[in-house]
Amino acid sequence: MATDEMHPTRTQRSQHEYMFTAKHHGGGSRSDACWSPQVTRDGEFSVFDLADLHSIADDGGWLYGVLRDSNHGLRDLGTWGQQIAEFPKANEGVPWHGFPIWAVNNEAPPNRAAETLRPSKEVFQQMEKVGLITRRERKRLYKGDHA
Amino acid sequence: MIGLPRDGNGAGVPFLRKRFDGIEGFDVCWAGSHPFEPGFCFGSTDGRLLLTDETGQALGDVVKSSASGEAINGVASWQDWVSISTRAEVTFDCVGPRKTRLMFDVGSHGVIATKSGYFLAPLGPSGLMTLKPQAGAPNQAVDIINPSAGQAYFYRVICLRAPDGGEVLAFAHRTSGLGAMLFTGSEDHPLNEISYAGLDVIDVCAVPRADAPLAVAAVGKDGTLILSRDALHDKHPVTMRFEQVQGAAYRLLSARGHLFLLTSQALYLMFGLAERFLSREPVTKSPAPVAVVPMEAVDANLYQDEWLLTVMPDEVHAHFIGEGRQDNLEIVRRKEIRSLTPTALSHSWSEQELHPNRTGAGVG
Repeated sequence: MATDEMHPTRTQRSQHEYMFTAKHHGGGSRSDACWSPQVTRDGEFSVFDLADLHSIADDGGWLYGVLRDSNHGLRDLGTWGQQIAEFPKANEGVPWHGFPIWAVNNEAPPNRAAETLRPSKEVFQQMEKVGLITRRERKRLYKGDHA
Repeated sequence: MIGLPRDGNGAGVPFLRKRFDGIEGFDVCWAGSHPFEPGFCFGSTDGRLLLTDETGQALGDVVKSSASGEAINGVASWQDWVSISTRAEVTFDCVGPRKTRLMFDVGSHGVIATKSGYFLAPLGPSGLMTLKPQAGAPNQAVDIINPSAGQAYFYRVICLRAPDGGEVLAFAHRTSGLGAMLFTGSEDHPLNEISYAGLDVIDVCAVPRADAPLAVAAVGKDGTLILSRDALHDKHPVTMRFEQVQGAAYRLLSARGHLFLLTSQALYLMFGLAERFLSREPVTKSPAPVAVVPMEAVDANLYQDEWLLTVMPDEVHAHFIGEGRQDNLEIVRRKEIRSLTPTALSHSWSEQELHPNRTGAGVG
């Protein structure tokens, strides 16, 4: 993807706009987290929309989301096996964007496997509370394992 | 209460469980053997440990074992030492007369101890941490073995015993495949890796027999089984898959010639598969008895090769897997043992020999 693209609709709760950034779709450097080609644009947007709908946020207002598959499991969102995506809080009037963040496999550069990149414990607990992830999946993701 | 019968034979042994309702906030995420005596060890998501006897009775109080309060993902012991790993640190405690605590602030996927007295912790892209701790020394150095940043991802490690008494390490290296190297402590040895496109190895276990001491089984995230008679030298291991295996693979364990595959959807008990492989039977061409037990487990471990511990969302189950006919096991008797025909996979394996660098780091 050479240029950034806007999703045609806004999130159902906050009416946030969402942008698919070239940087996180193969247009950036090798160290930039990228969405998996298997995740459609609508799929990517639904991760953000559900994160916004359920207000899955950390202290800084960044949102976090997942995508379930038809077998009731968690889909890999990123090219490094990530199953959780992060959406940095956007300034007023600026579209949001996001990228897969956790947990990573060996395809990720070492600086992307850092423990500090993991969402906070409260984020996982919020996800479980609203049913985005199961208790089992929370425990595995929290340990740094795939769910 | 778990309550293991010491002479259990499978018959009449119920589906045993241990709950933690009486311990406030104890959110169990790991289970294994008591580090020093018969019994169990349970780890929580906030970094606490509970030790029990074999009946499930607590031995002392719950102990905060992770300074960071992170989820326990491994416990190993050697003599008076116990090591505990989380994604934020690895700690080493000597409980002998010369009490010592060492802590290393790097996240690990687990920790094991070798018979030669080394603790090994796979640190993901950071390499493999090794330490042979010395009681009473407050500051000690660990070695980090790593080919070079990003070349290998250390996810799981096991230690095998070579015929000459030496030790061989086998690794699950995720998409870098299956790794193996001689291990002699302070000396460096090449790390052999084999892989093929699309493989994502998430666990490896020993399936040793007298005539194949370095035999291993490994599993890919998609349930692909890899069987090797010699982890160090076999460059083209048997690769197969049961199409009926559903979900993402979490663990692969072995005891008594069986393989136990835990996925996100079920526990698959593959009776005698390792034994038949080692006996050179055509395991990729003949049906295999497999019991499928649907469950949503977080993790699994073995206890003394007789019990399979599965960490469930709110409790831990113990399944007797000791001596006895496979259809006499309580976990199986309630389920149908299916005859599943595997699919032999033919992949073009690639191999590479990596030369690990060794760096030291302070711990204390």
